Amino acid sequence: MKRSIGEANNRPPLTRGSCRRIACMCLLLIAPAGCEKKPPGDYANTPNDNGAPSSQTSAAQIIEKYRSLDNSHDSTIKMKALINSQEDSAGLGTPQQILLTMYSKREPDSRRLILAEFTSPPEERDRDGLVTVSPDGRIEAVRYVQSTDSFLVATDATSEDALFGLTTQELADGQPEKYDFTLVGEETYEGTPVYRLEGKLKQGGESKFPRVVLLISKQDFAALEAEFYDNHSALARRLVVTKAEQIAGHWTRLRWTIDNLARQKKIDFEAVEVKYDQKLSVSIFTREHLKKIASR
Amino acid sequence: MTQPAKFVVLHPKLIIAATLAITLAYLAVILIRGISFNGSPETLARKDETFRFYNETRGIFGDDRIIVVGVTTTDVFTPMFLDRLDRLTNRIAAVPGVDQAMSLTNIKAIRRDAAGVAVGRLIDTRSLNHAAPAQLDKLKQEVTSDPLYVRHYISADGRTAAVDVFLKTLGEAESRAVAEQVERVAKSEANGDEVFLSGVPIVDARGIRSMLRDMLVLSPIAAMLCFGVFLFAFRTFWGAALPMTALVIGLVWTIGLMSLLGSPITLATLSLPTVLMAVGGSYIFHVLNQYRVSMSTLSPNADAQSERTAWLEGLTFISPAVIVSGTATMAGFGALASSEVPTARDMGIFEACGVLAMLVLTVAFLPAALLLLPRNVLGKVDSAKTDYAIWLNKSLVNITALVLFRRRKVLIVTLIATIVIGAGAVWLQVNTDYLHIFPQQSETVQDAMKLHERLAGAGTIQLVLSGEAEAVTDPDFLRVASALEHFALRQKGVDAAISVADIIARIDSVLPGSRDQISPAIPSDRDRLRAIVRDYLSGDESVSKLMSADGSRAVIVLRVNTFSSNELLELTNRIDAWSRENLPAGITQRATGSIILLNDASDAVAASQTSSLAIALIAIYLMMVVMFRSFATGLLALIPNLLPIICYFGFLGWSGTALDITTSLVASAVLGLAVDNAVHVIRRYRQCVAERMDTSNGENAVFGMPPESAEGWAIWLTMLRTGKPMILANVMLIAAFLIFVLSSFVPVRVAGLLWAGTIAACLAADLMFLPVLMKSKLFERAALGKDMRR
Repeated sequence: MKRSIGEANNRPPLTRGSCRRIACMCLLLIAPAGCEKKPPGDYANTPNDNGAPSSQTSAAQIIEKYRSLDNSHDSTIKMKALINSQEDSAGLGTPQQILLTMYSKREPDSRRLILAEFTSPPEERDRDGLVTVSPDGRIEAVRYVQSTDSFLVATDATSEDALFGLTTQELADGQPEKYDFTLVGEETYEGTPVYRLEGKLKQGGESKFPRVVLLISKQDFAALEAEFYDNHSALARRLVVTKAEQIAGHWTRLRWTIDNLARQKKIDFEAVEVKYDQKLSVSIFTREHLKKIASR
Repeated sequence: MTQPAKFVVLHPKLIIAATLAITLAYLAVILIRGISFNGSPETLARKDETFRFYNETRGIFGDDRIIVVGVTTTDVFTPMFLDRLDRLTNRIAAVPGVDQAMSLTNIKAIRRDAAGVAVGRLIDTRSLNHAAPAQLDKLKQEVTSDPLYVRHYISADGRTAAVDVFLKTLGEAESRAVAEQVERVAKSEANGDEVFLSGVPIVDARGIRSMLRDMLVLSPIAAMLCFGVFLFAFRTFWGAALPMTALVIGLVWTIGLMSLLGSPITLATLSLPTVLMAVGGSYIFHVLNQYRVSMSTLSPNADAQSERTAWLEGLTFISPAVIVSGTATMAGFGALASSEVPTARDMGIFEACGVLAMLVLTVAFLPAALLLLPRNVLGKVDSAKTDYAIWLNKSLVNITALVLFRRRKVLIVTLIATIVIGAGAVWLQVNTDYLHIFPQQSETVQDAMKLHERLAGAGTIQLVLSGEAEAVTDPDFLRVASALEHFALRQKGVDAAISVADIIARIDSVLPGSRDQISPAIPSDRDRLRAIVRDYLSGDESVSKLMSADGSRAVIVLRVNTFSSNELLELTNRIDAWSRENLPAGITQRATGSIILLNDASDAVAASQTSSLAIALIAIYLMMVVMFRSFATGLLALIPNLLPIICYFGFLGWSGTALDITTSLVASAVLGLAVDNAVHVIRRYRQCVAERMDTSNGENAVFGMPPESAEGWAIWLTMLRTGKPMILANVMLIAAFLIFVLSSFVPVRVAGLLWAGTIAACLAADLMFLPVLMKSKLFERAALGKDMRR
């Protein structure tokens, strides 16, 4: 059922399904591509669990190279997402398509600012969100609630109800800096030689995913696949990159799929327009701007 | 009966080979499929509408069976303790099968923010490491005075914290495994603090451990007891080893059948091995006794053919009585199969199958094995020395004297005793207390009490409020939910409650424009309610435990400290009465939860008691009628055993012992067991009268008690020949049931005493009251039978 912006206040109140759909997507859009700038010296001195010095060094180097694929100051990525939900398909029959734009900016104080703006369908605009990632790993996600003319601020990295049904950690690229990575093997993935890296959540780290597995290309250090495991060691998400290119000198993921096994949803993403280093104004990463775009 | 007996005597090796083959097959089944246990209250529940609603509610709101882990320390609000609590919560959450683990360190708080509402962890342990004591004190004040957290996650004094563990919807065995793992994890994190756990899965898990312990302890004791009694009675190795072999084979068959059909051992079927050994032992006693009697008629030089002939004669005599006794016992147990309570039904079916197995072995395997063993296998027997257990003779003489010379007194005393004791049935109560199946001092009861005293009871009841779609956005619906919650909180047994109304009121109180932030209330504006539900709750997983996806149903979760079906029934009755009076049209309320199922089971127990007893009575009576080909003799066999059953119910009433899942199984089963005595007494009496009529003088006029008449002498002979094995068999039964006082379960202990007491009463009635009735004018002809009368 499609609704106009003006109908926002009359939406059915219980739209948990759509919330989660968008949430999952939103995360994936932003998720572990090579768009993370590594804080200096973050991994080099990180011990790993299996205690193998050579693996430790290798893993750190691989992660370092992977993260340095994108060293942009800011980015604007317009994308579309096709959501296939077992839960919803019974009722709707067809996948739902959503268009959104992700704005990302790094601040001099190492904070990272992300604005997710939903452009279509119009009734999803009040799901727009602003995420701030502090250098110490804390995350704050803010959404504007029209009905009460107030902001809803979520600070729990593991809670899946802060924004769009996703954890705020996922909204912030999955925060790989929270993990200790180990090189567990080398293999061939879809004809490409890859490193298999396993990340374990650092002591005191807060996450819904205590373990992640990354397949990093040996050729260009781009992530080809990522697996996120929950606290029962069950695979909760699988991200598969099917197309990536260099754009303006930055390795950019153009088409990828995320399988949300925990919620039985599969989302296909496609970046339709990518811009880097546009000198985005910090004013678009403010609550006032969020209120403005969410109220349109 | 001659033909089957002849087959046994002619083909003993074939019978033994067949017995061994069946036994090996069942052993293979046991080894391959194993033996399962189920301590879940669901085994007590009828598969009816209540159960369907419970499952429907579980499907919508998740499993209600929570585990509560309590940790008492000197002060919860210290960085060190909160850090440990966080680690404990995370470790428990990682246990496979756990859906969610919630404690102070990961539950959310909804707070007013400068520009709106902030949702985050109530306590962020990372930020507390450098917190000042004053800051921690403030936090303590806030949290311990907040009704959303106090008693649910923290005690009012701030010394006890809880981790609420929600399980995924799992089967009984999986839930139990999860509960055991949660318990291990919780105790490994104790670090000097007091850790206690409760909740239905924990009670289940500990129940199963106790069941295993009972099986491993009680069954061998029962086996040793049987062995001892047989050894004592027959004073030969084979006199004890042979019956034990038959009993063990019977158990293998029965447990193998349970394994084959996938039926687990439950609280009700826990007693099965012990009961079967005792019951089977009593049949075996009569057959072994008859073997001795038969062999005593042979000369020392008698050949094998004479031995077979004598044994065929003896077997032809004893088999009908044993078969009718066994069938009556099967009817007594089988009557329980009419119960709507699954575990009672299982008990009835498998006890009946077990008795059948014991019966087959008693009339086929045992006689066949005796034929293959030397004639003196039960001790040296000759015509001059047929007696055994001579120490019983004096008592039997006294009983015979009572029967012959104090008939009226025996009659009057028996009737008065029955009336006086039976009158107690007026005060009979039906109740099942799932927690107090464990002893008061047990860890399970103590943990539940601590939880109730420091936090809130571990039992949960879900009050499901139903209305139209999106009813949760209707202020009237939420107001009435809130009112019902407050009413429930004032009731005895209810420690704490939570509902979506509490959460909505809290969110409303922190939103801009709220009228009252001190005392949260349900907003009266429907649009505002819609906005709260849509914008603040619809994405929250945990809220799905409190309201349905379509908003038509909301649940009020009550934490209760009682597991007694009576008290729970009273509570739900009060809540139902309030709901009838206060709920507006279109809104309904219904209570459910795993402990509510016990209410249902309790009612089912009461309902099935009357029907199972009636079925047992009719079935056993008809068997007696067929056996003796007389309605009057059937009645004669039944009445002496019916009086102790009346006394049994009276005793329950006088002593305040409730009719529950274990005590309700006693009456009809004992009736089936005890009527066995009456069959043997009446048949032996007829045989003795016939013998007396064939001889001119009392060949066995021992102990200086000359018979005054053929019937008087026959009574004595009956006592001598049948009273003795009857007493020994019943003593073995009583002793076997007394073993149950060693059980870990209070109801099993109580039931053991009641079984023993009732069997003793039946034995007394069959030894004294039955012969008195047989000598009475009313039943004299029935006792003798048509052939004698002619």
